[in-house]
Amino acid sequence: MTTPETLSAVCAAKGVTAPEYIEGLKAAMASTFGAISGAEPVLLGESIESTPCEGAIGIISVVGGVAWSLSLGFPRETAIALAQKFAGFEIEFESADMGDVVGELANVLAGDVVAQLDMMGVRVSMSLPTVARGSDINIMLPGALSSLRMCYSLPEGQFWLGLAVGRPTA
Amino acid sequence: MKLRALVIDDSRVMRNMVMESLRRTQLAEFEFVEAEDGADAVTKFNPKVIDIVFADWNMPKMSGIEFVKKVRATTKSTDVPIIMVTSEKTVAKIEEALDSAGANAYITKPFTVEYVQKKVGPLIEDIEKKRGQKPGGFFSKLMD
Repeated sequence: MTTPETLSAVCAAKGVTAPEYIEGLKAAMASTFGAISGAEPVLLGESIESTPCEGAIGIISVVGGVAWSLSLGFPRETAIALAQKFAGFEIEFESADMGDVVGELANVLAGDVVAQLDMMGVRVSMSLPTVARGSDINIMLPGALSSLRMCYSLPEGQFWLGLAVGRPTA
Repeated sequence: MKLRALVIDDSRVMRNMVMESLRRTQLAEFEFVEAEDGADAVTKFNPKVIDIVFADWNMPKMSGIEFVKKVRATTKSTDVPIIMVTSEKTVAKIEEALDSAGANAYITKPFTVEYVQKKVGPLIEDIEKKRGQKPGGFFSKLMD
């Protein structure tokens, strides 16, 4: 993992997407996880290597004025703690409900992203979320896409945000 | 007051969260009917039996907004309050739901019990008033 940098700085350095849109993503991350956890997620840095771990990943697309694939990856312990915070009751990692929660977290984040972009005049809509759960999960993205993965920390544990950027559809 | 609520969401956890939040508001004694998507909800929605509806927006088969439009197209169901419970937060979506489709209230995810209470409370008061009026009206005049 690199030293902590701002999300905007990493995106600018990698030329992933327009800096102003990244501000919208940052605001959505703060709003979504602030509302669920009660604390804003702290950016730890860019996660370069995918560390093998048991966990769950929620993936959702935002398309229109931008074409983004957002992914949220939660190691097992973070997923359990965050699911309890989100749902208000305990949810076993192996249960179908855990898939629901991780998908809903991606859904809520995407909803915030759509609203933030909308305030900038960028019209987008979101897909239904997809969830994967298992060990040593790695998302294989087409090489043509610009992408990055940022690691965050919450009182409930660490997690990562993935962003892959394609060509806008509108 | 007893109320039968139809809760529509493709996520079982979200349905449970909505139902638990409603119980905690103590606004009424709720009995729940669950639906997994808009199409499932259409088969379970009966305005004579269902008092209030909580619908997610993005669902497979039939979305929540399609469900609202379909239900509102039937005049018999115009009295049943429908609350959207969704992660869609743009002004355009909120206007579409409330102004165009005919939903009565809009709750964005994630939500708190207090937020649900604030949004749902006035609608339940309206139901209570309508129920209070029902025994009166024409028949009460006959009794005078």
